[in-house]
Amino acid sequence: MDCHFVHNHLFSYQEKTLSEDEKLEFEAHLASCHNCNRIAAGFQFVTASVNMKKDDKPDPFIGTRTIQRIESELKHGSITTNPLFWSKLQPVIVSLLLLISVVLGFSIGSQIDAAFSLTSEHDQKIQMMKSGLSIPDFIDENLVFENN
Amino acid sequence: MTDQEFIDGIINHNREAINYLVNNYQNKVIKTAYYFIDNMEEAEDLSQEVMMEVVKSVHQYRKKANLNTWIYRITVNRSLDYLRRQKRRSIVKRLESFVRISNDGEKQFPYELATWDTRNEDIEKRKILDNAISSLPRNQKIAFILSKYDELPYREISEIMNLSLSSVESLIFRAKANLQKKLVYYFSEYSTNVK
Repeated sequence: MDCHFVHNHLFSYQEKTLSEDEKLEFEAHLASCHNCNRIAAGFQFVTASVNMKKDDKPDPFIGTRTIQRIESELKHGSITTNPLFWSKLQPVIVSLLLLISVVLGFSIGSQIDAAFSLTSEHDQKIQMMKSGLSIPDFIDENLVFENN
Repeated sequence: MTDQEFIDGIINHNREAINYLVNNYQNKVIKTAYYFIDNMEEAEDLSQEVMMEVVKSVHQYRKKANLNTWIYRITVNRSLDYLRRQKRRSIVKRLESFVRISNDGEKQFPYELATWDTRNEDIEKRKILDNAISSLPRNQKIAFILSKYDELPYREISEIMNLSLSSVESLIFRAKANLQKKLVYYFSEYSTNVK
């Protein structure tokens, strides 16, 4: 058995899942290898640390405080347990909001379209005026209006 | 009290059902949250949030999993959310302290180094284990904590995590292998540092 085996089986050794032969070899290696011995000794703290954490106790009055908080929030309506709202009303509200946004989108879109068509009408008039008076394209139309 | 009686009781704001929930599950929730976040007070606060969420969404609970599994699942998710928030906060804090140091124009030693000598060695070792666990990939961490600390059987862990039994076995195996690697490295380093 080498150091590599020991490093890879520290959990198995601690959890006593090594076979009897492996366990004996593991321990024999620890007796002969100073570094592995230190590592295994250090690794023992894993179990100790897990147990230390398990022994830590919460505040004994936390239950009473939680019950009071739940009751008060239920009373004041901060939380609701009404399944009708979540299962039925929520999808209806979401669909309505979606519908409203689509309708709004269409109406805004059509207004923009109307404004755009007005602009192009204005452009057409200017083009006609330019062609009638044979004004070159680079002359600013505002100047033309001012001169007229 | 059966699961159905409990659900009906909670929906009807029945005091008995609320007592049943808190008395039977809150301590388990606190313990599990504590194993994840390593702060008892925060774990207690988080357990209250879990209890509220159970009350709020009890009607959504489907009987695919049992009540215990469902509550564990909420607890694990809440704990991981908490850890994510903490991580974000610590990044912001580090950035803030960096900016402060740059503005002051003087170098300050981090608090941890200044108090190194006063630290108890056991606490330090425990912190090393906690850090090693928290550096594990998400699923390995969940599986390892539920198995090693909560002592849940693999089948229940597989239900909580919504994974197959073999996946859970593999996750725990890999978690242990990773932890061994990290801790062996630490103890080898540690043993040479001490000398």
